[in-house]
Amino acid sequence: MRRPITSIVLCAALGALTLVATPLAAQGDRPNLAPATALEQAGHYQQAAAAYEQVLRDHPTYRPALYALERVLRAANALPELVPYMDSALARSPRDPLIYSLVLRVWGDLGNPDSVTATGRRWVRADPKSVAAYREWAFAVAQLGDLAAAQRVLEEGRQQIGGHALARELAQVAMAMGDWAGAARAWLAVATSGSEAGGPSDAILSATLTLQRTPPALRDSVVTALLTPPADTVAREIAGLLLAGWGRADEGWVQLEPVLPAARAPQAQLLGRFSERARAADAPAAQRARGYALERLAKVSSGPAAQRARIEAARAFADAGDRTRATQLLSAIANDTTGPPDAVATMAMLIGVNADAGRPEEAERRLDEWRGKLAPDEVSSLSERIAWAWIREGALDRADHVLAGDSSVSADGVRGWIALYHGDLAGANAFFKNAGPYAGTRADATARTEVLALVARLPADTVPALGEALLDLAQGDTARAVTGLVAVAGRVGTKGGAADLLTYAGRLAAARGDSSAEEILLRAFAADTAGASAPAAELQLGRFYLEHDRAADAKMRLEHLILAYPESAVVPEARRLLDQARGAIPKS
Amino acid sequence: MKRREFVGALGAAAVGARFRPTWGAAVSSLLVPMDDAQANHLKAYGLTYRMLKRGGHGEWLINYRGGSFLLPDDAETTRDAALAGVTLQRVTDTDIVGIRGTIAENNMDSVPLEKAPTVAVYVPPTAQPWDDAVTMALEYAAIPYDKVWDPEVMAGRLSDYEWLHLHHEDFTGQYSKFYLTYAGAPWLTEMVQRNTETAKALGFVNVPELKKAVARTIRGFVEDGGFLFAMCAATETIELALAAERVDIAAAYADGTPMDPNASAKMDWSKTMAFENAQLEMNPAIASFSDIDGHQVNNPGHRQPLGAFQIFEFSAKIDPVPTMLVQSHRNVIPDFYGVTTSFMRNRLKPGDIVLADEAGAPWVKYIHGDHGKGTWTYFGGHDPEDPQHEIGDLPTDLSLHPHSPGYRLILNNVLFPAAKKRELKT
Repeated sequence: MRRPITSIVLCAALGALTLVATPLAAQGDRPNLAPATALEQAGHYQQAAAAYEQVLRDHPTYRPALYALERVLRAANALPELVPYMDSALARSPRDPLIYSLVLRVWGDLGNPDSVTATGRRWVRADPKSVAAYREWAFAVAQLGDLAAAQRVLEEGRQQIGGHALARELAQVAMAMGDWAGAARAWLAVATSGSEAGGPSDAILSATLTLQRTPPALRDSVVTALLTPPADTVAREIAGLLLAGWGRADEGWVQLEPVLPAARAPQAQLLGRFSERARAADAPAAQRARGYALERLAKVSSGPAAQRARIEAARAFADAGDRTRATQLLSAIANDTTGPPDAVATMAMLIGVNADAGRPEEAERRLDEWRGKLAPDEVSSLSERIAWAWIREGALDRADHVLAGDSSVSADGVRGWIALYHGDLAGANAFFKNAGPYAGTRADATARTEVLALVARLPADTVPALGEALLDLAQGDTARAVTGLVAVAGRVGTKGGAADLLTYAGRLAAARGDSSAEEILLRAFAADTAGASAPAAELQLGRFYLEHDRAADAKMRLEHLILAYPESAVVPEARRLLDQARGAIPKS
Repeated sequence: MKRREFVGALGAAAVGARFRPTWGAAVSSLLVPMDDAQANHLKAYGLTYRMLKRGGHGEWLINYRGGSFLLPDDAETTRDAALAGVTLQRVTDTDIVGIRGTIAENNMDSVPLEKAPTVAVYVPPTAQPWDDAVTMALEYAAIPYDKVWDPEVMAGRLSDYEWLHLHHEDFTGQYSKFYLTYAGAPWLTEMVQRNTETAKALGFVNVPELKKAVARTIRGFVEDGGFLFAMCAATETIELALAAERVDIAAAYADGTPMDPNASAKMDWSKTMAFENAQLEMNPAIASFSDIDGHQVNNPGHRQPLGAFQIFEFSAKIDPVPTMLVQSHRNVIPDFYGVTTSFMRNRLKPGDIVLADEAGAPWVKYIHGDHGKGTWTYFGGHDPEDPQHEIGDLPTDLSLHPHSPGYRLILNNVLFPAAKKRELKT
C-alpha cells in the first residue's frame, strides 16, 4: 500500500529536526569499513551487506556499520534483514537515542505498528523526559499513516515532560491532519514558550509563515483560535501579521497596533514585517492600514530609513485614495531641510498627487520650481495630469497653458479634448488624429476613437452645446451631461447623428443606473433603424434590461439584434449577453 | 432511445441514409461543419439536439470534417444557428452525393440521428450549474435536462431517462474526503447536513449505505439499457461503492466506524462495471479514494503532473460507437485535474474500451464499456478548461471557450444516444 501523503509531509517536517545527540560513546577500536564501503560504492549491495554484517557481529553497537547496513539493505530491498542487528545493538546499548531512532525508523518503514509502539515505550521508559524519544516515536507512527496516534504520542510526551514541550511537533501534526485551528493554538504555544532558538520574534515569524498556508475557507477559524480570550500580545501579533498577508491588513492593524512593543527596535521590526506582508493587498482599506504602519515605522526610524518609510506611506495612502494624507506626508518630506533620499522622485509624486487631488495651482507651482530637475518625460506626464485637473475645474485655458511647449503626441491628445470641450469639433478631430492610436494608455486611445466616431456624423464644425455636455461628463456630472447630449441630439436631427448621440447618452444614463436610459435608448434605436447606431442601441438596451433583471426583454432585444443585424460588429457581444440572459453562462 | 433499441435497430431509413437525406426530398440541407471552420463547436451540439427535439431527423457524419452534422434546411434551424452563432453551410443534394462519396472512401460514416434523448443529471438540488462541467456544457449548449438526486433515484425515477450524468459525487459517502481539510467550511457543513437528512428520510442508517444503494440503482439503470456518463470523483467512487456492497470503506466521520482494515481484500469486483483489484486509501485525512486514479491530485507525495491525452482513432465503419464518442477537431488535448483525474491501466477490466490516454503513462483518461443492455462512459478530471480547478475558483465561462475540444467529448456523449445505428456483425 502507498504511504499516505500526510505522513510523508510530517515525516519530512519532523525528520528535519535533529536528535538530541549524546556524545559518541567510546566504541573501542574503530573497525575497518573500507572494504564494505568499496563494495557498496560499486553497487554490490548484497556483498556489502555481508561485509557490514561481519563488522556488526564483532562490534554490535558500532553505529556507522548499522547505518551503512540499513542503507544497503534498503537499496537491496531487504530491510527486514536488519532486524537482528538492530535488536542486538539495542540490547547492548539500551539508552542510546541514535540506535532507538534507527530502530523506530526501520519498524516504521517495515509497516509494523506494534514494534514501533513497543520500541517507543521502551525508549520512554529508559528516558522518560526525553523530547527526542517522543518526537521520534511520533515520527515513526506518522510514517505509518496514523496521524491521530502520532498526536496521542506527542500529547503524552507533553504531559510527561511538562511545559510547552513538543509544541512545534503537535502543531505540525495538526496541520497534517487539516486541523488548522488546532495548529494555530499549537503554534501559539510554540511562540509563547520561549523555547525557539531565535527567541519569541523568530517564533512568531515561524508561526506566521507556516499558518500563512491556511486554506482560505479556514482562515477565520485560525484567527478565532488565536484571538480566543485571553489573546495575549503574541496571539494578536500573529493574527495581525497573518491577516496582513491574507490581504486583510485593515483587520490586522486593528489587532497589531494596540500591542506594538514600546521599544523602538522591536517595534520597527514588527512594523516592517507588517507593512511588507501587506504590500500585495489591493483593497483601499488594506493599503490605508499599510500607510498607518509605515507612518509609525517612520517615527521610530531615523535617517534614510525614516524617509523611505514616509515615501512608502505616502504611496500607500495614495493607492488607498487618501490623497490628502499622501500630500501631507509628501509635503513634509519635500520641506525636510535634511534632504530626502530621492528628492526628485518625492517631488514628482507630490505634484502628481496634488493634481489628482484637485489642487492644480499648487501642482503647477511646484512643477515650475522643479521642471529643470525632472526628466522631460516626467514633466510631460505631470503637465497632462495638471491639465486634466484644470479641465475638471472648468478652466480650459489654464489647461491649455500648462501644455504650452509640449510637442508630444500625448499632449495633443489632451489638446483634442480641450478643443472638444470648447465645442471645436474640427480642431478636436485634428488633434486626435495627430495623437494617433498610441498616445497615452490603451483606454485613452479607445476613448478618443469613440468620441471621434460620435462627432463624425455631426454636420457642423462647431457645436458648443456638445462641448459643454462632454465637459460636464469630464467633471463628473453625468446626469447633466446626459441631459445636454439629449438636447443636442434634438437639435441636430436624425441625419445629423442624433442616433449616435442618443445611444451615447443612453449608455451613460444606464451606467449610472438612471431609469431614463431605457427611453433614451429606445429613441436612439427608433431614430435610425438602418444605421450602425441601431444595433449599438439595442445592445445597450439588452444590457440595461439584463442589469435590471428583465431577462425576457433582454432576450427579445438581443435576438432581434442578432437576426436583424447579423453583420454588425456588436453581434458577438450580443450573443454573450444573450447567453447570460438565458442563464447559460455565469454572470461576469 | 435506450441502447437495446440503438444497437438493435436496422431500419431501411438507416440503410438509405448513406445516399440521401433521411428527412425527405429537400433540395438543400444544412451542413454544420465541426472542423476549424466552425465558429461555435459547443453550441452546434445544442442546435442539433433542438432540431431532434422538434421532431426533425439528421445525420452525424462521423470523422467527416471533425464530425459534422447534416440537418434539414428549415427556417427554425437557420434562426437557431444565427442566434447561437453556429456556422452553417447550405449544401445541395449534389453536394451531399459528393460528401457521401468522401465518406465511403475514407474512415468515416454517416449515423442517423432520430430522437433527442431525455437527459438527467444526478446532482444535489441546491447545486449551481457552474459546479460541474457537464451541466455547464448542457446550459451553454441549451440542452434541457432534469436534476435527479437520491430521493428520485431511490423512487425509481431513472427509468424516465435515457441518459444520465453523474455530478462529481462521492458515492463512498465520505464527502470527497474533504471532511477534515475543510472542517467548518459552510459548504461542507451544508453538504453533510443535507446528505445525513436524506439518508435518514430514506431509511438508511448512514450516508455511505444510502450512496451504495444509489450506486446499485444506477448500475441497474445501465443494465436496463441506459447510457451513463460520469466524470471526476463519480467515476471512481461509484465503482468502489459497488464493490464494497458488504464492506465498510467509509471513515469514521462518515458512518461512525473506521474503515475495515482489510477492506481492499474484501472488495467484490464482480459487482463493478469498469474497474477491478483496486487498493483503497486508508487514511481518512487524504482526499484520495484508491489507486484507480493515476494522478492523485490531493495526495502530494503521489501527485503526478499534468500532461496531454491523445484521442484514439477507431474504425468508423466497424466501431461507430467509440468513434462517435471521440469526435473532435483536435486529437491531443491538454489534461486537467479532478479529484479523480485518470484511471490506471492495471485497474481496468479486460472488456473496457480506452478512448483516450496519455502516451507512455500508466493511466488513461477516457474509457467506455457495455454493461447489461446499456453503456457507461467515464471521463477523468473536473473541468477541461480549468486544468488546476480548486474549490472556490470562479466558474468557467464557456462563451470564452466555444471551441473547447474537451467539452466536445462531453457533448459527444449527450448526442450519442440520439444516434440510430445498424447492427454490426462485429
